[in-house]
Amino acid sequence: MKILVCVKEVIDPEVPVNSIDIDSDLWKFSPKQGVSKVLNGFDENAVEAALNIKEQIPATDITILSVGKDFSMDVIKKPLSMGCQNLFLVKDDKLDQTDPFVTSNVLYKAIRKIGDFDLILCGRHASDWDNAQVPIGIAELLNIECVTLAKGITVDNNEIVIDRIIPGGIEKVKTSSPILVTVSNEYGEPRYPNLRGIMAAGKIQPTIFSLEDIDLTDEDLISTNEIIEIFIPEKDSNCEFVAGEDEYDIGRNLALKLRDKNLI
Amino acid sequence: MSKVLIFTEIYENDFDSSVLEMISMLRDLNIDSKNIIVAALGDDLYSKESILQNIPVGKVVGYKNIDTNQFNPNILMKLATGIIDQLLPEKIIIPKTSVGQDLAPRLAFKYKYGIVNDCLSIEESDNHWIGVRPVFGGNYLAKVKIKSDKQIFCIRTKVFDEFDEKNINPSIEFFEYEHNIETNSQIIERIQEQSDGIRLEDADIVVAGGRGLGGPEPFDTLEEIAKLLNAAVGASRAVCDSGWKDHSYQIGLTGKDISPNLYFTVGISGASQHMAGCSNSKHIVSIDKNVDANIFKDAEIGAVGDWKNILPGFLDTLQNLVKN
Ligand SMILES: Cc1cc2nc3c(=O)[nH]c(=O)nc-3n(C[C@H](O)[C@H](O)[C@H](O)COP(=O)(O)OP(=O)(O)OC[C@H]3O[C@@H](n4cnc5c(N)ncnc54)[C@H](O)[C@@H]3O)c2cc1C
Repeated sequence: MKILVCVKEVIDPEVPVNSIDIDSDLWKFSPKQGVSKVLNGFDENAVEAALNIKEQIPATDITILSVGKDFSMDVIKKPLSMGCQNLFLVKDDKLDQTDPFVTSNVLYKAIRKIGDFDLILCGRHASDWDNAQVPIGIAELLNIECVTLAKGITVDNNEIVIDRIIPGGIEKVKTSSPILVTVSNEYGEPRYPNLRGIMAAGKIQPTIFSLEDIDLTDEDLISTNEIIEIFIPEKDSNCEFVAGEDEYDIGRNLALKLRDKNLI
Repeated sequence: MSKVLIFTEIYENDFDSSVLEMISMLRDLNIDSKNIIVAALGDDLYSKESILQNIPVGKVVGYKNIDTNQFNPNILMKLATGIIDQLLPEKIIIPKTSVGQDLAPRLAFKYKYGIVNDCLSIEESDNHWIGVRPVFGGNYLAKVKIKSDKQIFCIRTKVFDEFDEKNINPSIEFFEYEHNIETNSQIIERIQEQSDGIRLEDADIVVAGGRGLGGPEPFDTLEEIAKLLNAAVGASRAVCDSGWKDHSYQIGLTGKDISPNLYFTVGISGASQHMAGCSNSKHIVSIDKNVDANIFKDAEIGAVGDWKNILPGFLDTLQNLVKN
């Protein structure tokens, strides 16, 4: 089976807002010195899903694809050290923006260049812009169906069954290749790379494409949206803290206060 | 004034109430509900005319006798495509329901509409609609303008009140679907979560625990409190990812969206991604040992300290209060 996983480097979503700079001309986010980039968490879930399929069907080949202006190799190679085989990068200064239409176009053209895949996996969304659009865009451009929000994927000969998260439960979706699936964190924790994996990843050279290599036109790079402003929402916090002689007493007073205010 | 199209889901006995929120939002933009067309998506709509009659807009359109295979997104996409082909709307509003959040980007890519996903609101400036949406998990808000005239806005639910004018009835037009509705992906089964208590989404009070609880066992105390308060129990993602609680408990951006009267948290720091799912709570009350925790920016009442000592005092008092 040939699997492609699309991944993205993001600013660590757990860092506080003051570790991030916003460029207010171009509305770009960049991490301050010393703040790390990480692989988008849901993309790691997607990588994990691909690796589980490979464990079941050893003849599986997993290719990782990412697009961007520049990459930190230790981040973008993580899927290789987890056990994936190939890495393709589309790298260009012009790819410094995050318009979902542009990103989808680039990924689509890169996929056409690399070859056919039975299964394309993506994270459910990227934790920076939270758009959840690019995977659907790729499927639409490739003219294949797409199943979002997978919690489980089982492959049995030509049949693929996806446990898809819906409000209040899951639905089982039966489908077949080629198909694009987005994976959610409910899929389960991604594995840690082991030493052997890290060694193997060190030997894999990424294939790097320029925009010309994948026949991208200027039209493909036109963004559809314009960001007018980005700001940190203001909160007028006025929390009333409950006092007490000791912590047990605080608990007691808290209960009384809630009753006082008719909240319980 | 061009017409605005809203997509909405029609269930067995009712339409999805988020359409009423969308109508309220549009009213704030001076769009008269009579100038709104609702595109209905659902099974066998011909037999549901009485439901469609109750949608307070100018016109409702939909396909007659379709089996959507339990709202299969790939089938809905075909239906939505058909409707857009007929109506060629400029502006499309899609509520961010489970169905809507999947459909909106599909349509955008198919028709090269610009899209602003996950909007909290739409602002008007120089006759342009600008979507206001959280990014970076809600740490920031972005105002986004679509450059082309063909625009899709996917709007968060439960932000706007439901439009409640009852004396508006739509004209209804049914279409025949003439293409092949078959899709490669078929929904073969739906499995509902088992929950013994009240559903998180419906609860008037939600008691939730976070990583600060340190393990699954303290949730027993939360369950006890919940029982006394007739509340539902929830959790942060950190808890669910650690396997202390099932993911059906997760509240937040990628979990459940709740809007209780009282949201009571213990050991939850209040990350923006968590708050995204509970900021519609009327009152937030929190216990955390860190006085600088983010949760206290949203909380109205706070108790600072170790839950191991605070909860016993709380529970004892609560038991007494309930008894009397
Ligand atoms: C794309 C994305 C989507 C996400 N979606 C969600 C989501 O849907 N829902 C969600 O919840 N999170 C989500 N997250 C994760 C989120 O960013 C936080 O990591 C998570 O909410 C933290 O959970 P927590 O508050 O339980 O843990 P922590 O942030 O670790 O907070 C624990 C708190 O417990 C307190 N504490 C510790 N010990 C004690 C004690 N003994 N007594 C009292 N207090 C104590 C600490 O002071 C701290 O405030 C998402 C993240 C990303 C990147």
